[in-house]
Amino acid sequence: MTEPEDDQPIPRRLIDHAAVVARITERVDALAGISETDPAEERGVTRLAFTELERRAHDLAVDWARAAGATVHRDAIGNTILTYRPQEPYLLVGSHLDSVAGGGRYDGTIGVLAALEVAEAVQGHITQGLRVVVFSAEEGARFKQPCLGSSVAAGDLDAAGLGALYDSSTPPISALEAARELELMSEDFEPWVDPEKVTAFLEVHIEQGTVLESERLSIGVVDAIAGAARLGLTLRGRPEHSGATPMRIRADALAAASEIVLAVEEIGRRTRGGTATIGQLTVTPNGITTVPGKVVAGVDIRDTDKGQQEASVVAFRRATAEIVDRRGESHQRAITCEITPAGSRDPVMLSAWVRKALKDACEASRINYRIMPSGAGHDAAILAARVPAGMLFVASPNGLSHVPEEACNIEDVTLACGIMCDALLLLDKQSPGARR
Amino acid sequence: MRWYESELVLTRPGVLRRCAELLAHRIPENTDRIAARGSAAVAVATAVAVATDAQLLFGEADPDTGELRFVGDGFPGARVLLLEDIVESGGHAAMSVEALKAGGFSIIGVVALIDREGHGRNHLETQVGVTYEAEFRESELLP
Repeated sequence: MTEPEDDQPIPRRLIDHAAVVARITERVDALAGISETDPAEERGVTRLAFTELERRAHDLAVDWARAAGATVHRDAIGNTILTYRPQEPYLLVGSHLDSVAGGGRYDGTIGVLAALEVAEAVQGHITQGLRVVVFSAEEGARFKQPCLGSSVAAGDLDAAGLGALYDSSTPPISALEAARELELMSEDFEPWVDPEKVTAFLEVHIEQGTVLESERLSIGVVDAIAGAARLGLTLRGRPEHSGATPMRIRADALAAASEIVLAVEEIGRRTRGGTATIGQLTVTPNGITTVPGKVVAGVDIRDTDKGQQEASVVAFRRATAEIVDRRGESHQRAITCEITPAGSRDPVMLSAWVRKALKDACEASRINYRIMPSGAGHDAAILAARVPAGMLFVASPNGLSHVPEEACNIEDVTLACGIMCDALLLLDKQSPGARR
Repeated sequence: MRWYESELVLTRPGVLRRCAELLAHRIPENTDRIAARGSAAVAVATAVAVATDAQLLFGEADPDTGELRFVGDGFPGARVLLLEDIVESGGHAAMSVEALKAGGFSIIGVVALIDREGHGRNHLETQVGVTYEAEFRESELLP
């Protein structure tokens, strides 16, 4: 093992570019084959949280890591920990291998595959420990709450919390029951994301948006991960005959909802780092000749600033009340509204120390990049509350994600592997003193 | 000669708040960072950052070389708007633009709170080659 000296240049190009592109491409194909759907039918990848398929994907990663000399440990919630260097403290890299229903081949997957490449490449060049983690149950698709594996590892979620999350099968199965069917979530579980042991966590992920592509960049260095406030909105009017009911006496729940949709769009435009979306509307009775009597909407408000996220929620509540009140005054029949919180998570700033290492690694290799926030949640956001965490994005062609058409250029992933290698070497040299 | 003493007004929260509200409309949506140098300009830029959520870069002398550089969480190619409190000859802004370019940033333009109606506009637009806007002309404030 070579130990980097302070006055020596950092060893670069630990990544054999062509070989890594070929290996990651092959492994993406192998993992895409582990799906409820037949890959040949082009219906995307379905490898839901806490299923046998997710375990099979982890097992494949284990086989690859063992071949590179790693030892294997599975924690109680099914996070797979691959140890390349056993020392403590240790550098940690990884992502997840579960998917949404009918999702793409790259979300999470390329983060795990990049982590395997990076760990194998740098294991002989650093002084502290080195592990890869494959988190379980990152997607919220099955249990409506994301990042279950990382949350349990960080101590933010316990068995009782998992027992309160249900999927939509008949009868519903809780996340705890699903985990125990896979012989996971034993009683004696201890959270392990410990700042005394984990020097830093790094994750590579597809951007899932079009910012990088629109700027013709391959790489983004993430500075913040947006929080999200979700609210349910129910509007009740009167379902009446569309021909027989005069306009002036209607209580049209969909017309009110339409105004609220536009108000929410305007709220989202008010802040630089924020979004506000009504992406879900259920209209009842949903008939062409009936005034809409009831609308149930799902509201998603995100921001990289906690105060602004909360202010946007207040603005949504105020706008909704104002629209409903105004319609009640101008029409003879009032519409009632009910707003119920449906989950909230705070925005997270990622470590400036880790970001600096990623930036320095990009600049040393003359790789163009930009600093950008993540609108989507990631395991890195969970770990960032406990340990220094950083993320690299690779461009998402057409911004498509969570759909079968999700795409990713493996050349970009390989570029990210090289950056991660250099950043890990920098962090290894600088820690633990430099981050404090 | 008429003097506009920025330290008498740009140290007042109410003035800064109103300046920020006015200047916020001059920050293009695609701005990655706003840059400022000098205490009054930094005060205005900080107020604008709070109002718009745009991140800042600060100009300072490099402790080793003494050369002007802009520090902050920037990145090469970032689209940067330079904010000035007062522009007269444009020399101060021109020096900042050169330092930003040397730092690898892409310059959107220069926005000043007050234009003293000297040679600043001509200097910046024709010699430095950047777009230039000012919220007020001095003759509007001190007629």
